[in-house]
Amino acid sequence: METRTLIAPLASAGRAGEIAARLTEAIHLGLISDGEQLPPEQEFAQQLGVAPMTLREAISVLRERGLVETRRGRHGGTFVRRSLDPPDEPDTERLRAMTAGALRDIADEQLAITGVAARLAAERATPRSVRRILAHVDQLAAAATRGARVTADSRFHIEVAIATRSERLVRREVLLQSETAGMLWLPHLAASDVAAIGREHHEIAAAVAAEDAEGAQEAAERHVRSNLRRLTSGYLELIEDALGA
Amino acid sequence: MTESGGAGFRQAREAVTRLLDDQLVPLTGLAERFAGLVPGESVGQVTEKRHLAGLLPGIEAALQASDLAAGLGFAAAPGVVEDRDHYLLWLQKHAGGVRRLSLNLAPGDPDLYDYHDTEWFSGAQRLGAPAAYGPYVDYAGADLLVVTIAVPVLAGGRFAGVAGTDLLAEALEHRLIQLLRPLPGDAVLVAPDRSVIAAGTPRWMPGERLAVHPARDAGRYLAVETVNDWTGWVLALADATT
Repeated sequence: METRTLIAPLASAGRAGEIAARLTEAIHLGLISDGEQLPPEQEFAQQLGVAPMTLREAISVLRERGLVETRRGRHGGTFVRRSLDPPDEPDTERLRAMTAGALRDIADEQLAITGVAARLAAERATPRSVRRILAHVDQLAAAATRGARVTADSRFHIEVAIATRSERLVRREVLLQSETAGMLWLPHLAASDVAAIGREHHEIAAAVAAEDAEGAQEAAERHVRSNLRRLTSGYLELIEDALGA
Repeated sequence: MTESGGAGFRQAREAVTRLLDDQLVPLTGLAERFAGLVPGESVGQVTEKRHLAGLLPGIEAALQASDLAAGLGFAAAPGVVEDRDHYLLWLQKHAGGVRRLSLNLAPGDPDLYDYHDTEWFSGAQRLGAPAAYGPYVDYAGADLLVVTIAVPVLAGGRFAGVAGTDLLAEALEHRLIQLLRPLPGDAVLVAPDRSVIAAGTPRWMPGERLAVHPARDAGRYLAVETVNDWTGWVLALADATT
């Protein structure tokens, strides 16, 4: 590969995209409560360590995803909207704009991050982490809406990453979840897949609880591969719909 | 526990004990100020304005004075603060200075940050003594790898919450390494859940978990001793690997 391509500038969305991903997950994970007002722009940008312009870009992504709304006037500001059922159009559009190759590329990164996170979690998880991971398996099984499933799914994976005690793996898993979870849980996902994802999470959790590093990594890798197949089927269906229309 | 590993080992153990006990000083100070500000009969009607705001300058000063702490403050037990089962008065250090930690504590929100069941909170409550937990990635709070320590806070003799601090795992490790490295052999500091806090050797890495706790694996070590009763952490020394 030419050096030039390696030192090409980051996509302009780089920094803003990362902030948008962090905030999306913070909202999904319930770290920010529904209806909460975000701090004033200048202050918030300083808190996050980014330029106000970058924050504005990130907030507009959240607005598109229906996660915040900005009200004008005396009691105006930007407020968190954590609806139980976020609209699926933005995620459908994102999936439609993908390619199978791009989905495979995301899954490749996930194999590296999610697979290794599961292995290290099995080696290092504290009893509390194990309890939380198992609670998120149950949470997904009990989830009935798209919003609840996206949340339970991302939380499960982030909790596994937290159990590794690696700040870096947590950060990467958060980015991956905010990129993929919304596209996975779209209406076309078959009921059999919904059940299978639950079983796959359970399998990973059981291996982590049993301190079975090999088993946890293998289960996580199988899960990533199955999700890639699910995402690609969804993507191809969207292409087919477009052809038919 | 195994016999002493010599004078060097004893001195290192004492220095680790002191380092950790020192971290409790600002917390017991905060607990005393709390007891002074909150009379027993106000439990259940405690408010930030009437009672707790007076704690802030002390919290800020203690946080600024510590070279290990990323955050420090008070976390309430249920039924203490008026209308709030979850209440934090917790400051965090940032590049720009000190800021109050804001978490989702909205009553009734299924996703509220329920710290009541964390080891540091419930540990201090159950034992009526200081408790330590970590290192762990505190994604909701500090978003860093931390060790949290907490001491119980009483109002009118009754448990009212904890005074706690998040110690940066990196900063703590840096201090510990300097005590462990000079020891004649491979030294490791281990939490009760088998997590490695710090090691003076590449044989063990911080954040990893040992397969067997040194106290149950005495044959492998020259010496194994508890550093403080309240952390339950043990310092273990093994023959240097060649």
